[in-house]
Amino acid sequence: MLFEFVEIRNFRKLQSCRIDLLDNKSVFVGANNSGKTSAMDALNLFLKAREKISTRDFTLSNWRGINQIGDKWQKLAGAEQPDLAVTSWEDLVPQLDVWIKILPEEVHYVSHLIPTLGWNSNRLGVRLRLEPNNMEMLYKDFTDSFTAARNMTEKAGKSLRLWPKSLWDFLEKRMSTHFSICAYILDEAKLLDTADGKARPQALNPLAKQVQGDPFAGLVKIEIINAQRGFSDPNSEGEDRTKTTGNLTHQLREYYNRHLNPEDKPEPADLEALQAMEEARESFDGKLLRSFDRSLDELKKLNYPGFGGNPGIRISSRISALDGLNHTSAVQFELMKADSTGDHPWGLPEKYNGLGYQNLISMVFKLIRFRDEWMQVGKLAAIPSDDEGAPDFQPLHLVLVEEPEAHLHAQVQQVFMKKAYEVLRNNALLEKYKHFSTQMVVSTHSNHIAFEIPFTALRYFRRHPAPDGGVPTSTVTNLHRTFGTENDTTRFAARYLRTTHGDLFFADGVILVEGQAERMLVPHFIQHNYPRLSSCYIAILEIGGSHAHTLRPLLEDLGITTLIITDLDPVDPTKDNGSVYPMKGQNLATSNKTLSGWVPAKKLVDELCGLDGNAVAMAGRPVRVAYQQPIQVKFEKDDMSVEIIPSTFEVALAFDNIELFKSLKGTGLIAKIKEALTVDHAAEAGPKVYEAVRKSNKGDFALDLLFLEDPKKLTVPTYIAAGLKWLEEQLIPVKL
Amino acid sequence: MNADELVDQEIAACLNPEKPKSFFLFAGAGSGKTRALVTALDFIRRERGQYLKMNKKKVAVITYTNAACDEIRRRLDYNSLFEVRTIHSFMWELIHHYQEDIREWLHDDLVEKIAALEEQQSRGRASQASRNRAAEIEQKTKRLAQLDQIRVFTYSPTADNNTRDSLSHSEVIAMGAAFLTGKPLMQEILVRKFPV
Repeated sequence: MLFEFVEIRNFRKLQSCRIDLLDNKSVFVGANNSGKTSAMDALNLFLKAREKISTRDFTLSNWRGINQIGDKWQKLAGAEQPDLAVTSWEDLVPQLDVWIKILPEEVHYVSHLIPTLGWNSNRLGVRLRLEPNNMEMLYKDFTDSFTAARNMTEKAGKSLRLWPKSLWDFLEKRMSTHFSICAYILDEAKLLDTADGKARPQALNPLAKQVQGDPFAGLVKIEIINAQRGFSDPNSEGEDRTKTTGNLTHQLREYYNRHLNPEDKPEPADLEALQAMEEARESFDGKLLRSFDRSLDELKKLNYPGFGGNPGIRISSRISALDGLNHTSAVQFELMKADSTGDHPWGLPEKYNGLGYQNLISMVFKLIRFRDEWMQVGKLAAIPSDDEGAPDFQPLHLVLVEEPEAHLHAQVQQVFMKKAYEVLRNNALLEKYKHFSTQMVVSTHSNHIAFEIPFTALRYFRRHPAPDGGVPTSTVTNLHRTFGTENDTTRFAARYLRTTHGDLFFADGVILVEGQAERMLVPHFIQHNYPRLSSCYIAILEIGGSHAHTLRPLLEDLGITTLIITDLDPVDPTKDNGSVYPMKGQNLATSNKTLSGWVPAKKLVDELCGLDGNAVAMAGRPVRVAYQQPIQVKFEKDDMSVEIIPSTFEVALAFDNIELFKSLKGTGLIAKIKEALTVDHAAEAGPKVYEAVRKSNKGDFALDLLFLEDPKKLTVPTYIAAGLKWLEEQLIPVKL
Repeated sequence: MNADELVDQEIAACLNPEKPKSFFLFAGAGSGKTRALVTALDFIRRERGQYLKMNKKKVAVITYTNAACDEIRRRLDYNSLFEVRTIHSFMWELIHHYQEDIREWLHDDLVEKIAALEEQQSRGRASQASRNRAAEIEQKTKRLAQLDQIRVFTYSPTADNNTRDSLSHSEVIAMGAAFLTGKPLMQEILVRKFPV
C-alpha cells in the first residue's frame, strides 16, 4: 500500500495543491516561506496529531468568509431559520484528500474504505475535513456568547469590545469543542487532474460514505522528525538542558525502555541483570540505613515515632534498569582507545560532541527507533499468543523529516540522504514480507540534499503573490511530471543542473547568462546598481543560448521569475550561417535557439532589433530575455551619432564604457578593444571591436577587467540594464 | 498414540497451507469436538501465527450461540488472531461497510417479495391470511419508499432491530450470502482476511 498523492486545500498558504509521493523518497524544495513545513504539518495534523489543528491553520483569506457566516447568524438573532448547512463551510475549512494505491492482495486492509462492492480499481480516495461537529450547537453557542458580550458592552456604555468580536475570535478559543476531523470516501470517477498547478478536488457528494473513527488506523504509521531538535552547545545560555529531548542519551533511554527493558516481560537472559541489580539495591539499602542511623536516632529523641502507633521511618532505595541511563553523561564519546592496561578510556559526555554529529547520530537513531517500533522489535514484539491489545502491523510507514541539514556539512548531508532510506528498511521482517512499504518525505533548503536524489523525487513549492484583497498562496510542482518523459532534453537538463547549480530551487529569481564574463560581472552590476535586487535571492546559471531553451519546461513548471541574458548571435543565411558583423537590412538571422524558438520567437535580426517591454517577455509567464540592442554612439570627431549593433556582451560593454576602456592598461582582449576604440569615427570602431572580440580568446577578459578596474565604475550595458530593471520590478512589487 | 491425537494429526494435515482441505468433524456430545477445534487453532497459531499477524489476516471461528463464542474465546486465551463470532455477527461485520450495496439488495428484495405477495393475493380468497398479506404488502411498500432516505443501515446481532433503518436477522444472512455468491470483491475480501 502506498500514498499515491495528497491534495491539500485551505491549509495555511496551501490553498489548493497536489503533492505526488513517490514509492520511496520525495523531497520538498522551495524558497523560504513557500509552504514546505505547512505541507509536512498538514500530513502530521490530519493523519496523526488530529486534535492539535487550530484556527491558525485555516487559510487566512478564508476567515472573511467564515466571519460573514457569523455576521449572518448574529443578525438573524433567532428571527429566521439560519443557514446551518455544512455546504456553506465546504470551501473554507482545511481538508486533506489522500489517494492510496493498493495491490489486489491488500484489499482486506482497506475493506472499510471501499466505496461499494462494485469497486474495481487499485486506487482509493479518502477526504479528511475539519468541520463543525454539530452546526446547531455551534450556532447556538456562538450567537449566545456574541449577544451576551454585546449586551454587556451596551449596558456599560463603553466602546470596549468583549470576546467574541467575530466568529473567528470565537473559534480561536472554542475550536476544539466545535470542530473535529471527519473522513469521507471519495469517488475516483470524479478525480480531476491539476490545472495550472492547482489541485481541483471534487465536491463532496452529500451522500458520500463517512468513515467512523480514524480511517488510517492500522494502515499507516506516521512519524515526524521536526526541524526543532533542541541541540545545544554545553555552554549555551538560557536553555533548559533537561528538556533537550533530541539527544542520543534521551533516545537511547526511550529505546531501552520500549524494546529492551529487562523488567518488562523478563526473559531468562534478563534475570542475571535483575539479580545483580537487586543485590546492589540490598547492599545500598543497608548502607543507607547505617548512614542515616544517627540522624534517625535524633528524631527518636523528639519522641517520634513514640507511643500510639505512629508509623516508623524506613529508608529504601529503588534501582531500576532505566535509571542507569538517566543522566546526561550516560552516552560518552570515546576519544581515546583503551590502552593495554585496560584503563577506562577518556571520554566526553554527549553534549561536547560537535553539533553536526549530535544531529546526524540523533536523526539516524530516530529512524532506527521508528523502524523498530513499526516492526515491533524486542520486547515490543507481541507473540501472537499474547493479549488482545497487540497492535497491528501497519502496511505503510510514512516518515517525515524536516530539514535534516542542520549543522551538517555538505558531504554528511549527502551521506544522510543516501543512507536514511536504507536505515528505514533494514529489518529482516521487511525482507520477508514484501507488502510493507516505507515512504520517506524530506523537506530541505539544502541543494546538497536536493541533488543526492533523482529529480523526479523533487516537489517544488512555488509561491504566488497575493491577489487583490487576498493572501499569498503556494502551489506544488511535481517534478516527475516535468522530467517524467525521458528524452534528450530532460536528460540534459537533469545532468546540467546536477553538475552545476542546485540553488535554482531555493531562489526568488533566476538569471541565465551566456558565458563566463557575464557570470562574473552580472553580480557586480546588481550589487552596485540595483540595491533592492541585491537583497533578493538570485541564482545565476551559466548556460549558453544554444542550450538555455532546454531548461524551458523546468523553468515554466517552476514558475520562477527568470531573466535570460543572451547574445544576438547574428549569422548570414546566404553564407552557410557564418557569423557576421550585425547590420540592419541585410537579411541576417540569429543562430540563438532561445531567441528564435522561445522568446521572442523571432528569427531575423531586423525583427529582433528594437524590441523591448512586453515584446521580449513571455505572455503570462515571468520570463524575459535580454540581448544586445542597437545603440547610438558618437565619437568626438563624429558629426552625428551612428547606430551600432553589438553582437556579444564584450562588444556591448566596450561601447557603453568607451572612455574607461581607453584608459585601461591591460593586455589581451582588453588591449585589443582599447586599440579598436582609438579610431576617429564610431562607424569604424564597430566592425573593429567586433573583429577583435571574435578573434581573441575571451577566457580571461572578465578576470582581467576585475583586476584592473573597480567594477563600480563600469556602466551596465544597456540591454542588461533593461533586463535587470525588469527583474527588479518583478521581484519587488511597487508598494502603493 | 491415543485416538484424540490421531484426530488432531489428521486435522493438522487438512490445515496445511500448501494443500488445504475442507473437513467436517462429526461426533457426539461431550466427545471433545471443541477441544479438537481449540487444538487445531492452537496448531495454526504456532505454525502460521507470524505470517497471519504480519499480513493482518485472521482465523474466523463461527459458532451457533453467543455462549459458545465466549467459551471458545476463553479457551483460546482471548487471542486476537482468532475472530470468534456467531454467524450473524460475522456476516454483519463483513458487509456493514457497503451501505450502497445493502440499499440496492434491499430494494430488489422488497420489490421481489411484494410482487410475490401480490401474486398470491390475486389468487387467494379473503381470509386471515389474506388480511395479513395485505398488511405485509403495505408495510413492505412503505419501507421501499423510504429506502433512499436512510443514511446508514444498522443491525445488532443481539437485539430486536425494530427501528426504521435497521435490518432483520434473516435479511443480514440472506444479503451476506448474496454478496458472497454474486460479488467477486466480497469473496476476495473474505478470502484475503480469513485465509484458513
